[in-house]
Amino acid sequence: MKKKCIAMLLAGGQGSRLGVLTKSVAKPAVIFGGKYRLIDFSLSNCYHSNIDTVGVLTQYQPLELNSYISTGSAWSLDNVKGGVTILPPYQNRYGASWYRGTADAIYQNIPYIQSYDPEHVLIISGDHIYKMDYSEMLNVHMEKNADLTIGGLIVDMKEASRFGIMNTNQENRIIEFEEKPEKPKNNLASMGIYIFKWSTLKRLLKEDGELESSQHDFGKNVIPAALQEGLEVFAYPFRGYWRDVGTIESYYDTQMELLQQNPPLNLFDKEFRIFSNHESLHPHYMSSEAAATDSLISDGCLICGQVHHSILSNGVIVEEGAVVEDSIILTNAKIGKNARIKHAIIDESVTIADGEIIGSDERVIQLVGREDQDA
Amino acid sequence: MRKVMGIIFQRWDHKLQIFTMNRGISTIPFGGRYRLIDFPLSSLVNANIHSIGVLGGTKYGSLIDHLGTGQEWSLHRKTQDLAILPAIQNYSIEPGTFFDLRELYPSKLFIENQTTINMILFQPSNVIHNLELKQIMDVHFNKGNDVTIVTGNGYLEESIGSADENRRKWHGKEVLAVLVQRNIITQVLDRMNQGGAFDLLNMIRRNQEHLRVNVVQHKGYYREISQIKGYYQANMDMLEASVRKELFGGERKIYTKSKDNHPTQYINGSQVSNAWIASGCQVAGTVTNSIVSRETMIGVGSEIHNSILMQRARIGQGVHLEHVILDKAVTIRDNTVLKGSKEEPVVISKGSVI
Repeated sequence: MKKKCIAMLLAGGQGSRLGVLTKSVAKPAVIFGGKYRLIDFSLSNCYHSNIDTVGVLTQYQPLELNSYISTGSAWSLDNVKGGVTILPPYQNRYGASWYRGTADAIYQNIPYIQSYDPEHVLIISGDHIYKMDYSEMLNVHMEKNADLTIGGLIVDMKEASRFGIMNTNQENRIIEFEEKPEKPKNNLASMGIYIFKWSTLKRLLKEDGELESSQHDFGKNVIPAALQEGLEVFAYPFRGYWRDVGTIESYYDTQMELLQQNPPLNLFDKEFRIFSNHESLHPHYMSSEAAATDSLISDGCLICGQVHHSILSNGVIVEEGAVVEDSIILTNAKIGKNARIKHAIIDESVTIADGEIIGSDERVIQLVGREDQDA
Repeated sequence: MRKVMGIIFQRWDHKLQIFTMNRGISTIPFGGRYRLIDFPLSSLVNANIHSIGVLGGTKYGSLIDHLGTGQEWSLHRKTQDLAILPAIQNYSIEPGTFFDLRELYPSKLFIENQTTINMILFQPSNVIHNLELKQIMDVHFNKGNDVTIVTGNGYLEESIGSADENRRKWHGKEVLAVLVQRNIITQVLDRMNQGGAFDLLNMIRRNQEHLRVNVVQHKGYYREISQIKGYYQANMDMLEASVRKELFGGERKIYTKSKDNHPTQYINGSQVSNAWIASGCQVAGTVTNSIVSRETMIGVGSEIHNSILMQRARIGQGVHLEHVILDKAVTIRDNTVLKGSKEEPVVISKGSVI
């Protein structure tokens, strides 16, 4: 079955900078914005880009992620001509190995991609928050007859030294790639979104796979090799909302942006809906004592206390007299009577005891994880 | 082995015409995110009944849209069957009929083809409950009964004010479901041309001495919806902790079509008290003692009291609603005031702009 373009979604990352939030789940499965998980954004983008075949590469703590993706039906990826396939590391007759890097993960799944014999392969990751129609990028990639096109976010020149920067000429051809340059020459940052011609990618991966010295990473090895070889490598500038939520601070700040009157990420947009997979829950109930201002409250919540400037995921309980401020409360957590939560992130299924005080007026984010409670 | 088919049918003698201009009674929106049919349908799914026929009535567009492939109820498997059955109605149904078996005649094949079925469970589509059916079916099967009648008790059923209504009760009690051996139904369908009793309950009544009839009482919450007052009250029941716990708090879930909505956003100035609010809403005003459905927008300075807003209501600024029911997609312009009473709520029909 020949396809024009299929997607490979890298979802094996640990996301260790998210602390206890990723202690038992992979980063793409971390909850975001009340009812979403990080991977919803990439999978929904695939849906809106008419990409119907997605290989999801998993490695770290895959249980929750796998059951969440399930048949892919939540993102209409349960079709017969492709759909979503979970690709964990596997054993073959030469032995078994973990995915040693982003490029190695794709390398080990060459047979999967080959079974669709696509013209192009889109490589994305499952832990960024953005809405993007990849088909526009694919069109540009094909127009230029490029071997590789890299999605590039236009960032502030001042911030450019935090990113991998692509130096381009007028027709967006990449001349040079600099990882976190001290004196950036351009403000086009790599978003970790790649479209390769499949024939080129297959060759590059095989060459990289045989190199002992390689770290088997796209950014560090494969792309520099492609540039050195003089292949047709272009940048695709993307002007839009894009956030990396790799740290507790960015995870917190990005969600707090959703509470603005007109947030930069519009999740009410019906034309470009972000889909998610969750059980059918009843509407939330606000008791006679409840109050909610500047907040997002999801289905299944039971609110008897006060919620200000906070985000509550599915099935959260806030008991009488409790006050939740400037906080993110994840699925099925319970805030006991008269407890006070401020500037905090409360992990899934955590119970905060009656009267407990978490966080303070000081803007330091307190993180209460599931493991903290088991101890 | 017991294998049961569920038949969900429509009531014709209701007083909800303002809601049923373009939909059947079974798809009237309810409780912020549900449709009436979700409750009987979920009770079947929770009892592992996967062969289900839904009598669509004449206005079945919204039913087809709502049920889709049956995925939300896990009824889209290869070996499971969810069918919307045609209702060709060229006869008049007498007032007070529980279920006229002639409605099933065009779907005779649907029943005949499923040869492994040995019982059929009939339920009206307009009763809110979380009915436990597994045990009832087990007892029926193990005792070799011909008929089991599940009645309600405890909550006051609303009266539609007709002298005939007692006929669709069993000894004065509301009938929530009737479980009948399949062969009894197929025999009736085979002899249908010869005339006779077509009302299921009436038929059972007439043949009581030949049939093993068992009566089981559902002790929990239920409310039949067949007029505006009852619809209003049943929605308001969602504000009662005990009802919420019984309907939504247990193992038996109520399934419905999912909409992939954003969580509800409370914008500065919102005041909400004793309210049942679905996802995808934007609330800037005041809401008390009310039911707010998905994708509703409530503007700054507006007050909603004791009201039911169905999906996609657009409430402007400075609006005041009290004892009002808005059908789907109603727009209320700025500074509009609408007031009804508990006994007679103001009802605004679908898509109106006020």
